[in-house]
Parts: sequence; structure tokens; C-alpha cells
Amino acid sequence: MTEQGLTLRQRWATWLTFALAFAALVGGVLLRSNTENATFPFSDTKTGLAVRYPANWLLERGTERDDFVMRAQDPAAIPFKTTISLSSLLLGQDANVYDVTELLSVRRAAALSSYRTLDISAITLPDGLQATQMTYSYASAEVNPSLKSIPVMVRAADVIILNKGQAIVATYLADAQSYDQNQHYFGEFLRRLEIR
Amino acid sequence: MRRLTILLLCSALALSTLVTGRTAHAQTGFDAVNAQRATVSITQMTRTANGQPIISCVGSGTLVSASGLILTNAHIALGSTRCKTDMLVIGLTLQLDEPPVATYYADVLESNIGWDLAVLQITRSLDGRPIDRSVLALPFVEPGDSETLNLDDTLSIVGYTNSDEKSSGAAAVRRGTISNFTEEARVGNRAWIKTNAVIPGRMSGGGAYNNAGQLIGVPTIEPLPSGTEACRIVQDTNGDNRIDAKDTCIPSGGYINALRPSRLARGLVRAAQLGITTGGSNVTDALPKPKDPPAFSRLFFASGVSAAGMPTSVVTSLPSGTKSLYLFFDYANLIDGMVYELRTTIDGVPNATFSLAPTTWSGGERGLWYIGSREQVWPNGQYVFTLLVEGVRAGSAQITLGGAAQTAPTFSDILFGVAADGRPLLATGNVLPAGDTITAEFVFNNMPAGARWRQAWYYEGVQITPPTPASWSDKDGANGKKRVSAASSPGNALQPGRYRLELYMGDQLAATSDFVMAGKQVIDRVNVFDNVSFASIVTGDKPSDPGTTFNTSITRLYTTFNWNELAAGTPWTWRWSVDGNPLFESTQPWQPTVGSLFWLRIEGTGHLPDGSYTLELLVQGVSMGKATAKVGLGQLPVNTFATAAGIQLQGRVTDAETGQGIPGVMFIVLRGDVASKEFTWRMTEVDAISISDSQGQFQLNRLLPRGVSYNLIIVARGYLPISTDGLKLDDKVKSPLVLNIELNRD
Repeated sequence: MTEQGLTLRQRWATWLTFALAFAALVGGVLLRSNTENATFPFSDTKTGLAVRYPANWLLERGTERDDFVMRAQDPAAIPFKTTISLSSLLLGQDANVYDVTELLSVRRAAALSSYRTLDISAITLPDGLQATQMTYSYASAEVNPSLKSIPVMVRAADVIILNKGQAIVATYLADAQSYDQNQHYFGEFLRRLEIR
Repeated sequence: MRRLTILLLCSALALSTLVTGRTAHAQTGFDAVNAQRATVSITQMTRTANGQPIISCVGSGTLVSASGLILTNAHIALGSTRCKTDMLVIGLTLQLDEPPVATYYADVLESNIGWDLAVLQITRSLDGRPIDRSVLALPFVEPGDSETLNLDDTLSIVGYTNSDEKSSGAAAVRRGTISNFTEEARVGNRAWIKTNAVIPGRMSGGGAYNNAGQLIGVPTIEPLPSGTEACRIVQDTNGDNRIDAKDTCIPSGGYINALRPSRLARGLVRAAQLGITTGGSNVTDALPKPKDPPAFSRLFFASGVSAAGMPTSVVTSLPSGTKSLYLFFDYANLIDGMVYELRTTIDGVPNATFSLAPTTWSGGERGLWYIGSREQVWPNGQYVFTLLVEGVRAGSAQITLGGAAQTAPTFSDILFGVAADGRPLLATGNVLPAGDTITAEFVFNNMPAGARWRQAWYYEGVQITPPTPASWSDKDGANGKKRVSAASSPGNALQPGRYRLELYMGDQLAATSDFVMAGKQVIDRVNVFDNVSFASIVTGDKPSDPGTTFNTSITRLYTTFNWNELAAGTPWTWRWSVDGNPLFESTQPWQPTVGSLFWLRIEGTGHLPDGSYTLELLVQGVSMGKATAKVGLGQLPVNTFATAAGIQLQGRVTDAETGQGIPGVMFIVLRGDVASKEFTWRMTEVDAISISDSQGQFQLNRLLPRGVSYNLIIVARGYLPISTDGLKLDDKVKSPLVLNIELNRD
């Protein structure tokens, strides 16, 4: 059949099919994007922190025994569960951000295998707040000795914001290989962070 | 496909239930797999001068909690000159047929050298990082009741063996029966459980289980001093680049035939669970060590033991069918921690049932000791008992058993007390109040008139009465009771301390007993300790807040007391218990401190748990003081000692197409009231979680209680998640419950 053989109606039907297929594709992409980028709210009155974290991530609210205010993990991530958390450190009047990075480094070096600080730099958050970002890496190993897991190399970032005698630390942990790919979750997390 | 997978999962669960239903009987019996998994290897390590780690000794242990409490021998935990210990490396049974895998370091929480028992806590991984014990979910067993055991009961002993041509070095199970129960001074009846199982020395510190699968004993043998037994040289320990006889070797010889009963371990385990330790006393000076070599003397036999641990009557032979026989002996110049041993032969043939493998000495420097038994018939024959200390022969005695019972003259059952003009003795027992006269009453039988006999009194090993041979008076009769006494000379009162009475028939020792003179007489009892009180703070040896009730927030509890007429060196015992559960006990020579106040202390790793804390003070096994203090509510939280009797859920997640294990899969068990469809991805709705390893294997980090329904979710990127509700774990389901789950790609 040649083009000359197509009726106007057939031509319209062809174009409509293409348009519907395209619309369905765009709709699917949008739906997937919406699902992936959907967030749930979290707030903590004690520290005055409010934020939105990725929907369907496993949320854990910190207790007095924990060193975090909230922690959300991507349950489906393989092999390391991508994690975003918020913590708060009380600071003395004379403390500066490098006291905080040093404190965090020492604490983590004592708790994490092969811990290494990679970089400490000043950054500006989406809302214009000044912050300090410390990136680091470590080897994450399963604590259950019956399970045979090869340690996973984890890349991580702490974003430290000094505010009213406390340091707000937003932390992003991901398998080193998917660190960049998942960083948009952390970017969105920081964009929605409110310090009241 | 998703429905199919869920069906497969449900089928797997149902099948598991069916399979375990068939093996439900095994649940109540000995579970060899769980016992082996709960068995750990303990390696005592030290460092050379240049910092290199070397292995000094090896032993076994048993996990008694999921959070890493280990029950083992004290000599394995604390080390010695033979087994120097700077680090305790814990190896786990990861595969049943493979040697242990060194995984953790452990620290000693509690120990009792005399009982040769200790409780360790896993604290660090091998790279030195602290372990969060709350996330440990290690396989463990619970200590059972060793008092319910009977002769000929079957035992299963689990521990590690040396890796050689005959063994892979994996945790092994050796079976045997109970051949005897051995009594020993300070511990009393059933101080040891004897078994005919062949247990290599490497299994020392492991576990012995009854038919119900309860941990009822700890196989125990001390490594002998270097050069007296087989050992393995595995390292260049002296740094001379050669491996030869000059290098330190690891003891590997010996066979165990004795178990310490779990009864003795229970207090240590409970104290460890509560986080309570003994915090010492206000005596700081250690007793000087004896300079002379250790010695055993005055070996003799008795047909029974009194409640105070004294011989009822001395015997030189016993008839057929004898069940009760004890070897008594004096000891001097011994040091706690030395190794002693009893070897017994019958008609020249070594007999393990009535011997005692090398074990830790804990009786102090000098005194009277005994070993024997009363539950097993002693076969007829000529017995030779040989005592060894530090591998060197130190004394021997022999006795013949057999023939018919004879009606020979006997003295027996010496009873000390305060005489009161023809009336029964007052303040009877083996602790007498300080005074000028000592009186003893003894039983005699078959005594012919005119028989030669004599009494001899001793104070701290020195005879204090002149030899007084006498003829048995016709007025006393052939059978009955007789009193004898010793009095101080005018102006020289009898001193507090240790005394002894010996009664001789001719020149043959016929009866003997020791007693302690201490304290004051108060009506018909002896008052050695008084003003027993408590405090949470002691400043300058004075209690700052004396009382009997204390707030929950205290971290230490002191007990203070005065003492009366208690001579230095007199053995005394303190015993702490909480809510009636004995925790600690120690017998030691009395060392008076400066002033008139003595204190003992217990302390918690954090706050002392709420409870009723009781201190009991004893002399010669007799309670001489007791008091109780309440902390917080005055009782332990409900179910403090309840262990998690639940099901270990584990398994493997695989790709449905390839059959390969999927790493990183999150296996979530939801709280029972949260259905999988209602799950909002909050940790508060989660009961337990495991993430699969590189092989797809998973294991939940805690045991799941039985009788509860569970809802599950399994999720991994790239695969369709699956969920199921209503997994019921009833009493028929055997632990561990293994689930094999297939996931389909999305």
C-alpha cells in the first residue's frame, strides 16, 4: 500500500495512534517519576527539624539511645541500603564547623572499618544557607557472623549546618557505585529541609 | 507469576510446619546442631616482646545468651603462668563440619577460680571495633538443673577437638553416661559429675547436655605445667627464627572425666546478665605467698562427711558394698590457682571413676581437704590414692575394701559445744565462742573395757594438751556418747583461731574434727559478725548513707559489718544473692583491716538493677550473719532471667530464573498487628529485619517467640516484592526454621 492509497481518515488514525503512544509513554515516565520522587513528611519538635524523605523508604525515628533524629533507608537497594539521616549535635559557643567535622571523623573512625575522610568543603544549600560538606568512605560489613557478605565500599557525605548552638548534620550513605545515581534523593532531601 | 511465588512461599512455610511437626519430639531432646552452633572455641593469646601475638592455650566455651555471654572454665578465661592471656579470641561454629572461625574478642565478666568457671562477654570484632551486643543474634543454650541428674544418665559433651588426621577440628559431640558424683571440700556433694565419655582435653570449657538438651555441666581439666604433658609447638614464640623445643607450646594432651555442674555456674551467668560484679573489700594487702613447697600430709579415710565438712569417723578398711568413702588430707603452702590431681588405682589398675583430673586449687594456703563420693558402690579391691600438685606426686594412701562388716571399736561424730552442767551442749557446731574451755562430745561403739585410747588437742597445728593415754572405763560402757574437754591454763585464755581434736584408739587415729574459735557467745549461739548494714557510698572506710533501702540510681552497694574475736587466717565465706538467687560466693582467709569496720561491695556496669540484695557471712559453712537491702522496687524486673525461647528464622533468597542467591534482599518481619498491606514503611511497625548476604542467605537478628502470627515482606530492587500474612510459629515448629524463597524479576 502506498501513501497515495491512504485516506484522510487513515492518515488521522495513524497520527492519532502515534500521539496516543507518545502520550502514554510520557504519562508512564511521569507516573514513574512521580512515584520515584514522591516523598513523605517528617518533623521533630524537639530539634525543630522538618523534612520530606523518599516515599516507601523505611523510616526510623531516633530515640534517646540513638545518635540520629531520623533515618530513612531504601529497602530495595542492592547490595547496600541507600540511607539518608538527620542528626543534631549540641555545640558550645566557641565551636566552629571544623570542630564538628573533627568530632564526626573521630567517632566514625572508631566505629567504621577503613574509614577515610575524602573532602571537606563549603557549600551553599538551595535555600541559600551556608553549610559545610564532608565526604568520606568506609567498608560496611554485615554484623551477623553467620552471613557471608563481602564488605561493601560505602561513599558518604555529611552536610553540616550550624544553627543556634547546634550542628544539624544531614548524612547520605550509598554504595560507592550508585552514589552519584542516587544523589538526587539527597539533593531533594536538603531542598526540603526546614530548620525552625 | 507473582501469585505463584507467593504460593511457593506459603507452601514452603506449610511444608516447614509439617516437617517440623514430625520432628517435634526432637525439640524436647538434645539438639546436637544447636549445641554445636552454640559452642565456641576460645584461644588464649599473649604478645611477645616485639608485639607479635602468640597462642598460649586453647579451650572451648558455650554461648549462654544471644548477646554473646559465654560460659567456660576460669583457667581458660583468666590465664596462668602456663597459659598467659592478654587476649581471648572467640571462634564461632559457622559450618558444623568445619573448624571454628576466629571472629571476636571477649572480656571476662565473672569468674570463680575455685569452681574453675567463668563468664565472658563478646566485646570486639577482630579488628578491635566494639560490638553492639544488642544486635548480636548468636545461637545459644540455656543452663539446666544439674541436681536432677542420676547415675547412668546419658550425657552428650560438645566442644572442640584438635585438628589432626583423625579430626577436622570441628565442634564434636562425645557421648557417655554418668559414672559417679564426686564430693569435694568447700563445694560439698556433687562438686563434680564424673562420666565415662572419652573427652579430649581441648574440650575443656565446653558443654555437657542431658537427654532433655539442657546444659548441665562444663567439662573441666587444667593444663599441666610445661614439660609434664603433650603439647603442640605451632609458632616461633621466642623470635629466634627457629621452631624448636625452646618455643612455647600449646597443651594438647589429657582426657577429661569430670564436669563442673551447672548449679555452680548459674549465679555467675545471672550476675553477668544483670551486669553486676563484685567490687572487692577494704582489705588491700595480699597475703604473702608461702616460701616452702606445697605439701599434703596426714592422709586418712573416712566413711562419711559432716555438714561442716569434717570426717565422721576414720576408717582403715570398709566392707563390700561400701558407697561412702572419702580421702581426707592436710595441705600446706598451696596457692590458689595451682593444679592438683587425684589418681586412683584399684588393684593396680588406674580407675577414672574415682580419680580427679587435674583441676584448679582453691583451698588457700593450709587446712583440711577431702575428696570422695557416696552415690556409687566402690568395687572391692586394694585402693591406692595418689595426690599430685603441679604434676608432682605429693602424697599417697591406700585402703582395702571388701569382705564382711566387722564389729570393731569405733569413735565417730565429734560434736563441739559449750558445756552446761550435765545438760546438752550449747552453741554446738564447728564454730565455738571464745572462752576458757572447749568441750567435745563423740559417739563410741563396741568399746571393750580397758582399751587404750587418747585425745589430742591442737591450736593452729601445735598440740596444746599433753599426751594423756587412758584406758576405757567400764563405767562408760561399750556404746554411747562421751565428752572430753580442754581448758586453758590459768592466765592464758584460749586464743581465737583454728583448733583440732584427734581421738586415737591405741596409736591409730579413730576420729578427728577441726573447729574454729571465734566470736562471742550470745545465749545459745555464737556471734562472730554483727551490725551488718548497707550503704551506697563509703568515704574513708565510713558509710555515708547507711540504710536498707536505696534509690534505683545507685551504682554500688556496700555492706559493712563488725567482727568479734576472729583470728587472722581463719577461713570465712561471703555470699551475695539477689531476690534469693545466689550470685557470688567466695571463701578466703580472714584479713582484719584497720579499724573495726569491714566492707564488701558489689557494683553494676550501669545502675544496680532493682532487687533485694542479701549478704550472708559464714564460718566453717555455718551462717554467722545475714542482712538484706532493697534497691528501687526491691525486686528484679519480671522475667529478668527469662531467655528468649523462640525460633531462629533463616533461609535463602534466590532468583527464580537463574537459581542464584540474591544479595542485599531485605527480609522484613512485621509486628503481629500490622498486616503487610497496612505497612507504611516505618521501623516502629517492624519486628525483625535481615538483609541477605552475597549468597542470598539471611538470618533474623533475634529469635521469634512461639505462638504468634507473623507477617512478612521480602523486597529487592529489580524483583517483584512478595508478602504474606499469618505465618504461625507454634510449639511444633522446630528451630531454626529455614525458608527458601524465589523472587521473580520485575
